[in-house]
Amino acid sequence: MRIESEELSDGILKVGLYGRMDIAGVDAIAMQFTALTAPVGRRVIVDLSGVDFLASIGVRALLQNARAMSLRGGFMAVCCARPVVTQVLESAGVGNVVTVSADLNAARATLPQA
Amino acid sequence: VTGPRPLHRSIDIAASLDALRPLGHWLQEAAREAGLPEETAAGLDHALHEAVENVVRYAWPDAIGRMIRIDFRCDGTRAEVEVEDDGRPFDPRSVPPPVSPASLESLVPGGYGVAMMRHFTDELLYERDGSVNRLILRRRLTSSMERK
Repeated sequence: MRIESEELSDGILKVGLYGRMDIAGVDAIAMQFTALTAPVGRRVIVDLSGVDFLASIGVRALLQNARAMSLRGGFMAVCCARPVVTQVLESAGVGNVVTVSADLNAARATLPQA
Repeated sequence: VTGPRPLHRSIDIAASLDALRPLGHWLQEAAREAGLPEETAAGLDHALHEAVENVVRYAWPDAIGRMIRIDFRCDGTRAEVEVEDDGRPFDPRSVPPPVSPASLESLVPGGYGVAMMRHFTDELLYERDGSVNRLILRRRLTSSMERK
């Protein structure tokens, strides 16, 4: 599994995840994911378009980071998930606490302005 | 266009988290051979992963040297995966759904595995047979694309 990040023009960080987000996958990206989302007040969109498998441990990783960001005044939104990954997010109720959008622009619109 | 066809495949795996990824590949291969819709195969893959991870983590005080038996069956109208272990009794159907938190700050992440098993199956069957746990993850193959 790999992780890529890109600063968008409006100060939002896009974090792209790629691969199978299972135990081994989460292990591979956990430190970098946490580091990218750590700054106070960070606004992040997690792009899941490259994730073809999302295990419960991956859901936990997403939510732990989203929670930590929120406690530091930041915001996380999730976008672009494939159909099966969208179903995982639904089964775990992720949308109750984190905004889940179909595309990047929709996710952008859910984040507060800087 | 050919639809799903009868198939039975079995595998014995070591009760190890390292076995999960190869198991996923095995299931995908069996699902392809049986002609399952991609969405059905992906859902079963997720459900099986969670079921076996639970077994590896919790069925025995120490899983080293333990084995888990997996059966994939398709009869053309439904597909199912059976997980058999000789660990302590555990019926995943007894696990309540995760509680929806009032806010992200009050969230205690966890409990998603069984929720995923339920979500990606039409039937979740469990029996304790002597010293054996038998869990069946079943998907109907008719109208599977519109089921959830």
